[in-house]
Order: sequence, then C-alpha cells, then structure tokens
Amino acid sequence: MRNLVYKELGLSINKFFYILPIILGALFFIPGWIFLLVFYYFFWITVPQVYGSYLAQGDYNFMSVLPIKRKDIATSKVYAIFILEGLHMLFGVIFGLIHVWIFGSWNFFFDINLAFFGVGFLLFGVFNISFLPQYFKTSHFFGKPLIFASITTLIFGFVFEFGVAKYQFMRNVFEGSIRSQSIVFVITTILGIGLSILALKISQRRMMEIDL
Amino acid sequence: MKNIVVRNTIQTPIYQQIYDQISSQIMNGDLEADQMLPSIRTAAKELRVSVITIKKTWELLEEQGLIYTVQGKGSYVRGYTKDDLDELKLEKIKDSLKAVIESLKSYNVSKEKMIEIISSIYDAL
Amino acid sequence: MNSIEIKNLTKRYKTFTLDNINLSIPKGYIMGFIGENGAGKTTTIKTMLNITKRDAGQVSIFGQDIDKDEISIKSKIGYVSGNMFYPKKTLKEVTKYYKSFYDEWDEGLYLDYLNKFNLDSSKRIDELSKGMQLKYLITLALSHHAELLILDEPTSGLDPVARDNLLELFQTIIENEETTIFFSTHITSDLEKCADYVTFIKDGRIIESCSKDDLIDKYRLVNGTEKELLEVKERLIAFKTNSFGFNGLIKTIDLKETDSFKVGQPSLDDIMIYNTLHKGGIL
Repeated sequence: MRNLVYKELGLSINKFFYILPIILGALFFIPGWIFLLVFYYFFWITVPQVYGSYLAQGDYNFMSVLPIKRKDIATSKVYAIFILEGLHMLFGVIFGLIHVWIFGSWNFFFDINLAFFGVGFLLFGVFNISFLPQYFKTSHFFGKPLIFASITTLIFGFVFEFGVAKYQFMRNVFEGSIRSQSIVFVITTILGIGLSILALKISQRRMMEIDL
Repeated sequence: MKNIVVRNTIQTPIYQQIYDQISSQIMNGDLEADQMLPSIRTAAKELRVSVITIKKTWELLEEQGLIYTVQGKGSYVRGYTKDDLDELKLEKIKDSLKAVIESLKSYNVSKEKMIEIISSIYDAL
Repeated sequence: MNSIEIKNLTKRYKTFTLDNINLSIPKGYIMGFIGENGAGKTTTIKTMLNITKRDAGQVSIFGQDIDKDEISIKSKIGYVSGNMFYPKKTLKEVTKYYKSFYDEWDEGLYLDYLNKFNLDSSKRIDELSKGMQLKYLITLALSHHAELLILDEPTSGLDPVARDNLLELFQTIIENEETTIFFSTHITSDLEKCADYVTFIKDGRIIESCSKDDLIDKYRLVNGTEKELLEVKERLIAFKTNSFGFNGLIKTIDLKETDSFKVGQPSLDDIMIYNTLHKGGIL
C-alpha cells in the first residue's frame, strides 16, 4: 500500500501541485475577501489536472497488472487527494495566521478563525463525498463528478459566507467567543473527516466492480 | 546449425525440410560422429521455427537411427562405418527414385524406356 | 504443466460477447493469439487477468486460481499492453517505482538487460522508438523473473527488422524452458516464425487452439475447376471463384479419396482468411 501511495505522489501527480498550496495559500494576504474560495481553486485547478493526467499518462495501464489489490488502487488515489487537501489546509492556516497578524481578524465575509478552518475541513469532506464515489463509478471520467461536486460545494460555501455576512446569529456562532468557535471547529472537523472516510469506503467498493 | 534453409513458401512440411537437410549432412559426413547437436530450443531459435517442429525432427532423426540422445545432456550424431553410410545413402536414393518411377509409371512409360531416360540424363551431366 | 488454463470464460458487452473461451498454454512455450481486429483478443487478455470483470468461467495461472491468488500470480506475470505509460518520465523514474512492487526484483539482471538492449535509463519514455519501448517493458518483466509474459499486439507498429528482432528475443527467452509467452497479433507471419501453439479467435469465439503444426495439418488448400467446385462446395469452409475455377479451404478430414482437384498445404494466412470469409464465396 505504501509503495502505491509513493507511486501516486512521485509518478502520477505533477510536482507543481505540491507548490500550488503555497501559491494559493498566499491568497490569504488579500485584506478582505471570501476566503473559502481559496479551497475551491484546488477543486478547479488541481483535481481536473490530476485526474486528466491519469488518463493521458496511462496511469491505469501501468497499474493494471501490478501485484496489488484492486481496492488499493482507489485507496492510493484517495489518500493522494487527502494529502493534497492537507497541504492546502496547512498553508491556509499558516498564511491565515499571518493575515490575522497583519490585518486583524475582522472581515465582511467569514473571518479567518478557528471555526473557519473547521468549516474548511467540512468543505473538503463535502467535496470528497460528492466527487470521489462518482469518479470511481468509472475511474475514467471526471467531468460530471466534478460538476456535481462543484455544485454541492458552492451551495455549501454560499450558505456559510452569505449567512455570516447577513445574519447576526450566524456571526455569534462562527465569529463569536473562542469557546463557540472551538465547538464549531470540533464538530465540523469530525463531520469533514467522517465524510472523507465514507468517501474512501464507497470508492474502494466501487473500484472492485468496474472494468479498468 | 550450418547450411540449413527453411522455406515457408514451399509445400514440404518444415520438419521434413529440416530432417532432409540434417540427414543428408550426416550421410555426407558434414556432421561428424558423436558431434553434439544444439538443444531443441536453441535449434528452434536459430532456425526460427517452433520448438515443437524441432522436437518432431529430432524424434524422426532418432527413429531413423541417425542421432542418439543422452538423457540430461543432449543429442549426438550416431557414428557410422562407411558401409553403413553407403547403405543409408542407397536407401535414400531408392526412396527418391521410387516417387519418380511411380509417377512415370502413371504415364505408362515402360521399364526399358525409364532406364534409357536415366542413362541419357546421366551421360548428359 | 499448463501456465494458463482458461475454462468457459465469458464476458458480455452490449454489442459484443466473449463466448465460452477455453484455452491452455503449456509451460515453456510460445502461444500466438490471432484474429481480426475486434475479434476479442484484447478482451480475452484483460478478462483473464481480472483487469475487466468476467461474467463466467475460471482462470488458473501457474495452477493457482486467479480469484484466490491474484497477487501472487501477478507478481510472476509481465504484461505488455499496447498502451504506454508515463511518456514524459525517464526510464529511471518509472523503474524506481515499478520495482517497489516486486519482491523478486533483480537489479543486476535489470542492468544487464538495459545494457544488452542499449537502453539509456536517463531517457524519457517518449524519446524511445516503439521497438525500444517494447524492449524496456520486456526488461521490466524479465527483471522480476516473470514466468509468464503476456503481450497484446507487441509487433504492430514495428518495422520488419524490429519485429524480427522481437520474435527472436521471444525464442531466446523461452530457451530456459521456464518462461511462457502468450502474445496476440493480427500478423500471421509473426507466428510462422516463432509460435509453438496458435489460438485463433473469431467474433468472440475460439475457432482453433492447438500446436501450429497440427493447425496446418488440419486444413488443406484446394483448387480446381468450376465443375469440381459443385461436388466439393458443401464440404468447403469457404472459397473464392476466379476465371480459371476456384480456390478454397477444406478440413483435412473432409477430403475424400475420390477427390480429383489439387490439394496443398495452407499457410496460417490462408486458414485465417478463409475462416473469416462467409461460406459461399467472397463478399
């Protein structure tokens, strides 16, 4: 399993996508913005590039008779996405902290705070559960799954960004006391991770049933 | 494997083509007694024919007493005295003449006429 | 012992069915797999290797069931599909990851083959010619001591010299009596040169699967006059007429002592072409 993940990171995915989290993370330097959008660039740049290159590079040809479990093909690809998401989150946090240090935490839209990153984890969870199981229905076509995942994540993002800008009670929950933010962080992070694990399980099961 | 030619374009089966050429090399003394033949798989590779074809050829050579096989080592050319070889040659000549005579017979050529033809061709060479 | 044994393998698609495939390959031999484009060669290979899911049948490789021992079986297989991978990566990079999947990887042997085939491991895969790419893939397979090489149309797209080299390489590989080679092709002359066994597939069904010599013995090429055609027509597999009479293919067992027309040995090409023609003449 470990060698498959190494192969995924070293051979299948272009090195550029390990630098992109830093470049996109720098978007947190914008003084006031819809900061959840930073994570959407991952969905719209990295994901289609990586999944397109699987086909273009003959990634499945390479794996078709390696002595590996069929299930692990899905596992390694899902882990690779988790790792990239983790990198985006990591640099998001780093640059987010710098933003707060320079500009302070107030923002018309969702502030950069603990709750924000919890919601970020949940956003990744929503993306994973919408995109991955759809993709592994064929392990070839990523267009429709990506459109579907874009719609679900946009609705999700709209609810939070719009809600926080418009309603005081949302601001109280998500931008209120540290205690309130912490509760949001814990709940959304657990939900996000739960959805991601579910996405992994469904992807593995679908991988067993398809023709490569 | 020297001087063996295999043609896919002619009617004679390939194993027969190879058999004919090796047996004549043995009888001519081009292949010496107790000389080792290449392994079946090496011969197949060198002549670019199937392993099964060479197996068949080697079996036929052994059946005809032209080679012998030492288990685990390989196949060798059987040693012959000059008389043995002459006799084998004679057998081979008889075989090929038989086919010719049969076809001449089907054209109703008489025995005397055949002998006459043979001697005229012989003299002309 | 058989390296591959396939029983009643079936795979159904909407427009094509791979129907009840049975075939076996004895260890240490070369089997060629011929048929027209679209006859089901690639589907057979992919289905027997569990790359695509089968609908019915059993596959055993090295005497092991593919469903139970897939990983152990695949660690002893080298598979060369028509499609290349990672064109922009160097051989060195690809090998680095490839070998991590094989416990039996033999680095010394790998370097020997690179040397023997003049492969420069710092080159990118798309810098190699088609023939060199094949040699690289075969190097990968041999370096983990694959006991079975499965190649899908390896000779297509190669020039005659490269093709001949490859077929000679096949025969060199099986000299050790340990390695078995199964390769598909639509070029019958590839088989004339090196195959021990031939399997012929048409429209998803196996027409013949036996040794090449037996296959050729099974059929006879016949030609004769139009009058002779009338008396033999029903027994012919297919025939073509021309202004001098007819040419056709017949099974050797269907010949009669009384037949007056000319009979000759067919080439694999003849066998494939006439079997593919519809009975009753061309077109």
